[in-house]
Amino acid sequence: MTQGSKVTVDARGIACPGPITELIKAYRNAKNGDLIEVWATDPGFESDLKAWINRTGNQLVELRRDQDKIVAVVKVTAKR
Amino acid sequence: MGSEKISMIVFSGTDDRLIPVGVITQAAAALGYEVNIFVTGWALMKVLRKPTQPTWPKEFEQMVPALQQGMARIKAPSWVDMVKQGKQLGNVKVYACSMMAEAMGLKKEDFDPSIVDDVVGVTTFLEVAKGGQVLFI
Repeated sequence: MTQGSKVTVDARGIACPGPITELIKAYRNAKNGDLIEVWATDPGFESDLKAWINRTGNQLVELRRDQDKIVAVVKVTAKR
Repeated sequence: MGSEKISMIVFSGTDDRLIPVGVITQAAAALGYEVNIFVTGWALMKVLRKPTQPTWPKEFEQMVPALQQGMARIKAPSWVDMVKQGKQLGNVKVYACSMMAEAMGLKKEDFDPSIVDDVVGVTTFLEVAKGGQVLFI
């Protein structure tokens, strides 16, 4: 898999289902090998993201709390 | 993934019930679900070109200002905007119930075309909803 590009999605301050929607919008424009970093503050985002990863089979590279935000890095691997 | 679908019979016209219609529709459409919404009952008044004013259930009326402020703080879009976002993201169809429309004297051109795709009978809805989950809201 070739080295892809990286985009950052700032979904801080928007509520469910905003963050997952923004991730999916970025995902639709991405290709395998790309990284998508998402910043979110919605407390449901962590579990929603895990559910989306389970559903789609993409790779969760990183998930951490950085002060008041959740930072997630997804590696796109499941595009057909 | 494309075979999943969720359908809703949206009957209640109060905003506390319409908000989850928007949330579920937007999320399901983003995830790739087919979404079918059959609007009937009092909810029909909310998808008109000139919708009626938002209403809330009497027993929670005192809490409505706090909820509205909270919705603004978390930048939650209106339920209608969430449905429209769902339409942009995926396969969302909104049907108005022809029987209730007739009973209320509403014609197809009375409905907001940016929300409502068609005025149909319940047979159409049952056919499009067949085999998937159905929520009554």
